[in-house]
Amino acid sequence: MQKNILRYALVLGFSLIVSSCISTENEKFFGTTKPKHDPNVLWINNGSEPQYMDPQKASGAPDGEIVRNMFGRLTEINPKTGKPIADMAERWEISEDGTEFTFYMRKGLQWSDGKPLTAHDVEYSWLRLLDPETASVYASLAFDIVNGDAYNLGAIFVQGQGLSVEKIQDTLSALDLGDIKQSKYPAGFMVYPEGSDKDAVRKAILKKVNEEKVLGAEVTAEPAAKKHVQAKALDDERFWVKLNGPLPYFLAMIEFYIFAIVPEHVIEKIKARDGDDSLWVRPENVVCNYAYCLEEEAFRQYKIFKKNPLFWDAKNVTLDTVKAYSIESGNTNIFMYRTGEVDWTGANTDVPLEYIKKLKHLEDFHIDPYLGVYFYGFNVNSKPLDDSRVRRALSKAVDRKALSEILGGGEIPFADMVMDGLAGYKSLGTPLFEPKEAKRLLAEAGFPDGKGFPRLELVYNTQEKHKQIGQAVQQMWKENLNIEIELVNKEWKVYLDDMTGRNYDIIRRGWIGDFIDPYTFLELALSTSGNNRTGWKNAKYDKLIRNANIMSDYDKRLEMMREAEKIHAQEMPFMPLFLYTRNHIKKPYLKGFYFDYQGHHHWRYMYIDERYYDGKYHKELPEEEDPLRRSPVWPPSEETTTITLDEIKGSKSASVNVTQINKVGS
Amino acid sequence: MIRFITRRLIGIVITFFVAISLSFFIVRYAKGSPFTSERAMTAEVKQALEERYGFDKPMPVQYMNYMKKVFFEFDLGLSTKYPDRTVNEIIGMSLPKTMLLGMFALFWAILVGLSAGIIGAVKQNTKWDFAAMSMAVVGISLPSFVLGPILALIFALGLLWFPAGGWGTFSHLVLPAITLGTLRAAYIARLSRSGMLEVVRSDFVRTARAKGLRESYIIWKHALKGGIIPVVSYLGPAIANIMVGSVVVEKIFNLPGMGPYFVDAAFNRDYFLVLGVVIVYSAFLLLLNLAVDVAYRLLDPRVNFNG
Repeated sequence: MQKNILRYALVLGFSLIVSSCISTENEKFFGTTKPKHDPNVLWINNGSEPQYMDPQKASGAPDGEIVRNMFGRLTEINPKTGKPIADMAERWEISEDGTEFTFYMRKGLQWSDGKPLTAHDVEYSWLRLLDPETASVYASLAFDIVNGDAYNLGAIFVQGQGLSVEKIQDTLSALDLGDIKQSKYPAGFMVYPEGSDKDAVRKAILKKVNEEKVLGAEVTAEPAAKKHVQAKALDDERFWVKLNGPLPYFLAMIEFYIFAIVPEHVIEKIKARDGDDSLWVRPENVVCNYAYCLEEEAFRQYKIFKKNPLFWDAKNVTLDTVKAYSIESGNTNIFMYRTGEVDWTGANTDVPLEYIKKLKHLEDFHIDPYLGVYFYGFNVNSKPLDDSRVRRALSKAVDRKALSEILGGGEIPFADMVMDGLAGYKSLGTPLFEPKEAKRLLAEAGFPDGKGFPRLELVYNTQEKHKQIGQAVQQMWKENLNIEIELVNKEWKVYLDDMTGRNYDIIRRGWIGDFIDPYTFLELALSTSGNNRTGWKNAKYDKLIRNANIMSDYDKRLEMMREAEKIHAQEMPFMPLFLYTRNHIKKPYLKGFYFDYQGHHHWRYMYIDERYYDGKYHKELPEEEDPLRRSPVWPPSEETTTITLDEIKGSKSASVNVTQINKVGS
Repeated sequence: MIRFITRRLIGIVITFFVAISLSFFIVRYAKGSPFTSERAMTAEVKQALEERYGFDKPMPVQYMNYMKKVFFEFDLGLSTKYPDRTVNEIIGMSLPKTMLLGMFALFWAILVGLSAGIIGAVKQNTKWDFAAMSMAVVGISLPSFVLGPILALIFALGLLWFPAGGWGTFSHLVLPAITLGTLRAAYIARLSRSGMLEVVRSDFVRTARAKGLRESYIIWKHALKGGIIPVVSYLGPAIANIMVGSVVVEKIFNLPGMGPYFVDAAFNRDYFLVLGVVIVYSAFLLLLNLAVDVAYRLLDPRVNFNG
């Protein structure tokens, strides 16, 4: 008893201490606003230790943040307008049919070791992305390049007189070949072996065609190789690429870090030395081409980056040193922020939910919308979820506004897959909550007032937020449809296994867009998409999306995508719940920091407002009027950014809905 | 004694071998793979990754290859979570940090625990005793995931005396070491108090007092050696606890020690890293137990090595 009283007293006492220590009621900011370092230094948190810093192998957000600040791409996204602008390429030309792009490299580009950077480096980097040996999980993003998929997937290129799909199929029918596609350039066919023993099929095709000559004396076969991929340096200044169709989002897509330019001369040297190239991004080896270069690292602690004086826009880069911590714990992150040990809690670690209420009113706390949708996936082969009326009923019975209020992290209630305004897209505007219609649909499907509805399982991976959402939805379905759902919590890898094997009824999902275009979300529901995992297939949907991607009229393309999304809304294999948001805290002295829909923040634009060294708060000036802004033109390269997709195609590409962003961000 | 140690070392090698073998098959047959992710990867990418780590080979071959590498080349393999790092490299970077933290925590635990225990025993049933034992109750009642954030809030956020997290200087170690060592300090205080009480009431202490020896001399020279025997036997599990317990503390204070790998590697199905951690911890625990047994014998001649 005495021990218990002591425990309660302790808890109460410590709660009071805790509360007083983080009391912020009379403050505008969380902790110190006086920088603890020199004005040319920045301390940030990058979240967890990056898995890869190699652009072509990177896949996580902490990887991306570092890669994006060390390696340039041909284009980048202007964070003020959301449009693709020139980066390592100063301009580009697009062919009449919109399928061929010729990029002109900036003059005098150099690697940080002084070696010239040319279009050949771009060719090397893009082909490295597609090289099966690189094993890039993002290689499929480059499958729109002619023969990019053939090279990556290990297809066999068959070329010769009098060939046809039928002839290849009939002659080699015993080999269970799989897909055969006409290769656009050079003329011929790409045979994509399928099944578990692809290597044996490949070898058999090569033998039958080249040695046994089963397709004729003039016909030859060879494994798809780099030379077949239609992405080449025409000379030192020009890089040319041919796509399978006009992709309106291509310039925005290649801003993604996997398309970053990497140093062949370093990578190949390391490969020759070690047998593989994995150590080329270590501080002692790495050579960069962007604003910063890795100087020093302490594994799982921090990485120190130094300004690259040979970066093409180095004169407009203010910060000399960026120290990026790897702090995974949300608590430690905000503690270190409060004491001034980090200037920005970073884009990859959220402020813990329990602090949001306390910090929400502060000027340095921000909640930004994010290019991501949180949704539930239905296994459409599991009864009664094979009936679209049931799926729609479940969706309409969820009160998304109430759900967002429960979560309290600024999540935007949403019932569609693609957000309004994304690259000019007009959202369907599906109502957020229709309980009556939900009841009607369920009755129509044979379950009036939920009678006879089986007990389904809703699978989620271990995380408090997913549990909270699951419980709220479970309650809403009970109240509005009178049905019982069982919540099943699974450990991350088991959850992924179940998702891949479709071992679930309903499963929690989420998707962060890779580039600013509706396709990044609509691709999920394609029957051929490896990310679908619901078993839903709709030929009309597939056709609309495929055709939209080869449509040169941008408005028509968006309309076709909208039509496709209407099919999705009617069929509802995915049930969207809300749009993600990211929250973070940033010191008022950190300037040159722009909102970004994808959470990308270039260090090259950031700087420290030196007025804050006096320990006082200085009212924020609009960025353009800020007298201390050292780079007067924003973006620094604006005068050289003469060509954008908009100007060339007269389209609405890559614009974001700024009204919505401001409203939510405020 | 040499026979005893040799016999124990043989046992350790066998236990070690069994532990690695069992762990190998448990982690390899656990559901999920290191390469599954929310974003689907092509079969070609998966195949390339599996080839890199040798997962494309039959399980017995994988086992043999792994054991051969571990025992003959001291190569613990490649991490799948951090693919450009070897497990040797990761453990080599993190183990010294965990050990340093452990040493400080142990130092804190022994210093505070023994002092409180001795004071409690010598000043039995006084306010000193009450204060020391109350502190022990507080120490035992507060788990490190509660104590750590509280210390950080008071001493890092409130008073700004120490950093809230990170690694590099002595001040980075203070709060984590106190967090990690406090629970053990509390146990040591209680054990040493009861051990000392038993000894100070024994005949030889009474004789020493009767001879007119100074009290402090009696405590330090005669009573302490016998009084801390329970503490010594606790030190083995305590050091093990400190090493394993550092998982939580290293997470709270964002320390780059081995603790986080203990859990994260399992969640990530980072097979070789899991095994590497198992190897290090099991070697550590087995050798530590041996060391405690030897120390126990040296402190108490009644303990028989052949027993």
